[in-house]
Amino acid sequence: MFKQFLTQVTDSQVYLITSLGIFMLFFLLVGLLLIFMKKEQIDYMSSLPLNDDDNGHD
Amino acid sequence: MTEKFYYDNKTVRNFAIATIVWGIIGMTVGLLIALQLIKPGMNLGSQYTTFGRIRPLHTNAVIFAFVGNAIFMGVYYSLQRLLKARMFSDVLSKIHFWGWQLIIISAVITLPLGFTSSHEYAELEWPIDIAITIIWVVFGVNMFGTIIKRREQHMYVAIWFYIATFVTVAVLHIVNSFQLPISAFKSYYLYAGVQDALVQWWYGHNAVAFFLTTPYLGMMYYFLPKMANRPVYSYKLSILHFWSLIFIYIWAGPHHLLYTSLPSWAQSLGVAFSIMLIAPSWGGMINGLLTLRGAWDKVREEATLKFMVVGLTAYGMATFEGPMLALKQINAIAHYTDWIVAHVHVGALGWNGFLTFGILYWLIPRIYRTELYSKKLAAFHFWIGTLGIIFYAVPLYFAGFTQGLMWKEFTEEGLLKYPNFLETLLQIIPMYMLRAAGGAMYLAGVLVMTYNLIKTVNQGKLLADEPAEAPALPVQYTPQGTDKKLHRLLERKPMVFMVLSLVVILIGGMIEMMPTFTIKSNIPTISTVKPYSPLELQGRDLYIREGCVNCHSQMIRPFRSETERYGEYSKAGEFVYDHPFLWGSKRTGPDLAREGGKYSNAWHFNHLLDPQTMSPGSIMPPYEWLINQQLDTTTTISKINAMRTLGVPYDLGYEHQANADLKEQAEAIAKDLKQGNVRVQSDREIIAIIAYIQRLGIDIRTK
Repeated sequence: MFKQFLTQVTDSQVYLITSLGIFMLFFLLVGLLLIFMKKEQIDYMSSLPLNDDDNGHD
Repeated sequence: MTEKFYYDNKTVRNFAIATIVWGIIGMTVGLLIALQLIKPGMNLGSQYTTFGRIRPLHTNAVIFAFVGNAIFMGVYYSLQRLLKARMFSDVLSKIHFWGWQLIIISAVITLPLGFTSSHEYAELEWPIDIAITIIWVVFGVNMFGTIIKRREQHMYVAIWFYIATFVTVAVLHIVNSFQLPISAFKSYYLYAGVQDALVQWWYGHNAVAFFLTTPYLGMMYYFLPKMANRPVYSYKLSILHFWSLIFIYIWAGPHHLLYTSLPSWAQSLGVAFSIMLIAPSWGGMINGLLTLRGAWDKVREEATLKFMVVGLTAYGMATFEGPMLALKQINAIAHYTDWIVAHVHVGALGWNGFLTFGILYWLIPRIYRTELYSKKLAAFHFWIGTLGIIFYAVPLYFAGFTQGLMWKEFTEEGLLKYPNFLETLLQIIPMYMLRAAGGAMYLAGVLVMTYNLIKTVNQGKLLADEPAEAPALPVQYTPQGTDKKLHRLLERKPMVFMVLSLVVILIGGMIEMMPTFTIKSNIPTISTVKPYSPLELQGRDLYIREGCVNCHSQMIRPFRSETERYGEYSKAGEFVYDHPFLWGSKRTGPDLAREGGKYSNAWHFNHLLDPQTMSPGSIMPPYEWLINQQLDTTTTISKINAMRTLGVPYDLGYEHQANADLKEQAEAIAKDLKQGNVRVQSDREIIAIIAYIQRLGIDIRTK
């Protein structure tokens, strides 16, 4: 599918592929960030909304 | 040491009331314009209630008044509790609330009066743009002030979404508001034609992303775990989908301009990133729905959760459909049709509407220290609302698909099967009736909710300042076991976080826009394209005032079905003097890009006076006030001057000659009308608008 789009813009292929490259790099960085997250921290973060005082309405 | 403090519930309550009130108003106007598409008589015979002027009122009211107030309600409630701190400043909260309501009221006044910039979802004129900027900054200061004085070390992912919303909406609003004012309520955009279109749809698409989506995802990440009483399914997924969503969304704007005169490389970028957008969008939806794993029994009981589930499902459907519509082959059929209208309403009614209702049902009883008045009525609201969405969307899908295909159908001899545009419209009027019924059902549900919530409020008492306590944040940070430096930076430094998200959203915007603005070959000039005459320029501004662009496009796509129907396809170079561009996004009526010279002046006069006499069955409203009102020529000088400042090559000093030329051209048209048995003074507005319509597409006529 990408090939079809890119062949229609022959003069600016480099531009488009660079754009994709930037995204891949960004995606990898975020992926690495997630891989190195620790379980305790995840649990702590995800319980944040449940920790506030709700004055007993549940 | 534990500190005592109070959550501000009053501001939350105020935003909740505003959400409901503006919601009812915005949806009622929506129902009215839906009826206008069935019966032109529903335009009520007044220029202030005619479709072209109040369709922007509907869109602005539901986006910025209904959804806007709901965002602030959700942010003010959740931010305080996630950070264990009262809002930064009560004064700023008050200014924010009342300032936002004043902006909405000014929109309610100015849009029917015809003060519009014509950019979709950015119609408000420049003084209101400035007010929006100020109030948005007030909101930002209040939010960041709260984050800074917080008692919780870490920023939950909902707050990330709020920060990204704040910073991106600020950038979008400012870049799409570069205008040159020529009077108190009239201005011209700095950009013209293709560049103006690119900026507008970069804005328009990301208004959907960062006003209708990211703040609601933030609210979903707070309120859904609260309602289900369990943490979000995957916090890691929420981080991944946050960063990918804000990074990718900003690139996708050009999918609103497929097959137009926008350079094709920009269209391709828009398509590719639109497809990629499925992943983060569905990441959010799946994360929301899976949060309810093991709690589906609660969904059966609680109307609030029902609303959330259908809301998330609607989000999933709309965000799958969006990338599909961004495929060129599908877009070729769907663009300009009601398919797009159906698509946005699945998002607006399902995602934004239902999430808002779910949160209102959950939040109001809490801050009023009581139980919901009637669970039965809430369940009724849920069902009539869901049916309303179905009755709204499904007929419009049929309508869009039917009309899109009829436009493209050829006979065996190679002629258009439906050469008369009106024929394709009349085919789908029954679908418009069903749509209006769906909208009415949805609105009825909102009225039932309003009654239910009023009863709830009456049986409770507002806890304006809710007591809470939490330990103060230690000045010196003590790392908790294993957490990494990078995470600490992201979760504990709001300003760093804001700058990072700003950088992330700027990358896509810059890569897309820079070449169109800097490389000349992207917009080839055409030597025969000349600036508008003063009368045509005035006529163009009347065309903008009446909101003609809401139903008529001026952009012929390079398909045989379109060049057969309308003439030569549109070229980028034709629009270099168009401040603003008027390509439009919906064809309720035919395209007008090559309308000039197709019909006589007298035909246009009679058609504007009473469209049904010239096109029986047409749903276009009559514009008789254009005949009664005198054209304001006092603005001609400043308009010519402003256009020259923006680069339109009017000769120096031409502004003093302009009104004489205007008069001459007007008299020539009046004289021609007289020959067609139409008697009208040459100083009427209708003369100017006819002059403009007759100019359209003339410059590159090959015959």
